[in-house]
Amino acid sequence: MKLRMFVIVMTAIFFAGCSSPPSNVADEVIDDLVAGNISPQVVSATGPVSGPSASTFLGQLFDGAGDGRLNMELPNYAYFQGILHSNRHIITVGQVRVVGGMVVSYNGGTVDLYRGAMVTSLPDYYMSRFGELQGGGNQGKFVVADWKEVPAN
Amino acid sequence: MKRTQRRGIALIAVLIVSVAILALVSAGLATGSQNVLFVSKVHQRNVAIAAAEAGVYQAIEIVEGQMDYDGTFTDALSESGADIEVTVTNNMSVDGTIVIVSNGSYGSTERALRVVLRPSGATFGAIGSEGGIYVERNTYVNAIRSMRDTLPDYGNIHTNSSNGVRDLDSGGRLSVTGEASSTGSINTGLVDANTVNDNTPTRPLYGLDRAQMLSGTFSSGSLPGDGQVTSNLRISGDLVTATPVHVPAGVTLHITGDAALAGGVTGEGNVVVDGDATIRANGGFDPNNNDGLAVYVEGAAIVTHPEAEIDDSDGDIIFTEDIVGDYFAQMPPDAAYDLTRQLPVGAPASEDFFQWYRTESGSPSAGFTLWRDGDGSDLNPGLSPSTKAWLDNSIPIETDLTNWAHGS
Repeated sequence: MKLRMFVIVMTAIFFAGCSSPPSNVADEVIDDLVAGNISPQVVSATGPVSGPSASTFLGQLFDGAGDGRLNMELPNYAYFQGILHSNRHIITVGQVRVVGGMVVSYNGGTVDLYRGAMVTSLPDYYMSRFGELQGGGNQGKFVVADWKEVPAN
Repeated sequence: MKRTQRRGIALIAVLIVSVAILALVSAGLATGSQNVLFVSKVHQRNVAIAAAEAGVYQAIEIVEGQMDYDGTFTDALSESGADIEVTVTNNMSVDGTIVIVSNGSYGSTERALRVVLRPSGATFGAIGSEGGIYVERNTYVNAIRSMRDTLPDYGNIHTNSSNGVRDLDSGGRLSVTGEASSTGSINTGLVDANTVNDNTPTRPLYGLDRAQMLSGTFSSGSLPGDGQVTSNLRISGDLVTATPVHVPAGVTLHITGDAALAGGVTGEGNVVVDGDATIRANGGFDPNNNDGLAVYVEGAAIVTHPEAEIDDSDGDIIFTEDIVGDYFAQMPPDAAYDLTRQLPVGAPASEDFFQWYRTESGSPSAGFTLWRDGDGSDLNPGLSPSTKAWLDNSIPIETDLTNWAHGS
């Protein structure tokens, strides 16, 4: 499989001046490409994802427990499960579902969501590695889900 | 009447009146003492409840600072001397909750409170960014409570950038089930959120601690041939591989250059990339992945769908959204509940459902109308407005949905 060098293309665009950059790229990303701060590599398309069959998906849709719980697997979506932190940019291309969360810690950075990109937050993925987190200030980590009086011991 | 008789009558009258007065006084005393007892009991109850509440707040403070706390502690209110006993049961690894049972006792009275805590979706949002957020075409932000309980929750985004949320190309739309907030402005024509708060103060964001992730001992080498990283591994330079990479819990993979992970990366461990990273998302969802990866990228992180590519003639992104995938991406949380309730007689709960919905919408039967719109009763509440709107959106693409459903 040949790898296509995104930086070669973008560098050629800016330094050879053969054409304008694509209109759907954030200015901050372009600035970082020109400055040489990022050199992303892109793998060419390999084909459709192997998600749930239509019959399986519809079966879960109509015959579920009726409790409102979501079927996490969507037709044609691909998945990344975890917390993704970049000190530059996070660029999500296509019908990708990032389950967990995204953080960009650089004020000249960006979060770029393209064409069907989906982010599903999941506090579990933060809570399970709280020793490896920083920041957050004094924000409460928990909310009260239920509060009631019960018989005393 | 003889004088003796008059005295007797008077005596009897006085006795009767005395008895009556005595009865009244006794009743009054009894009532008063009951009131005193009642007030005393109420006071004890209030103090006991206050003690139980104090115990709950103490427990919350403890778990906020020590998320794995599980145990029992006792205390007492300083002024009243009411006793507190609190038991904290940490079920984070079971159902993502912490249960607090706090007993307050004062005098002969005991009261108890049971409180359930779960992680804050507001604190741990879907997107937290110091920079702007940009979208092209339909994009989505939502949430689930936990991997063990996939009930929908509020998915939130926040940016500390004055750029706020912007459109990369005309026609962009970002659907947010929770709050969209920004220190800058948010275009509500672009962002469809449950709550929009723009021009907010700067908010501290949680992020991964690179130094903490790299603590520990590392061996230097290359990626194993099967992609399974079994212990802390440092790869000097770039890692370019089409092999699926798996990093289990407790293990860190450190790449000092760029990473191109064409086979994707899975697991519950840590990945640190000192350069840029391109990650191919995987085709399947793992419901047993309860902790997820932690991936820190010093440079840019690009996550791509297997069908996405960059046009090497102009650097443009090439990806065509799947219509069916996009339709179900828009499914509101209510629909997951509405569609599992009783459908009208004759409605196919199968691959022909959308064809049936289109046909009935054009010429609705009484049963269809009752199911869809309800009659105002609890027995026939009808569909939620969001579910109705979503189902109506299926009509223009019904052929695509039906073909997909039939495997065409």
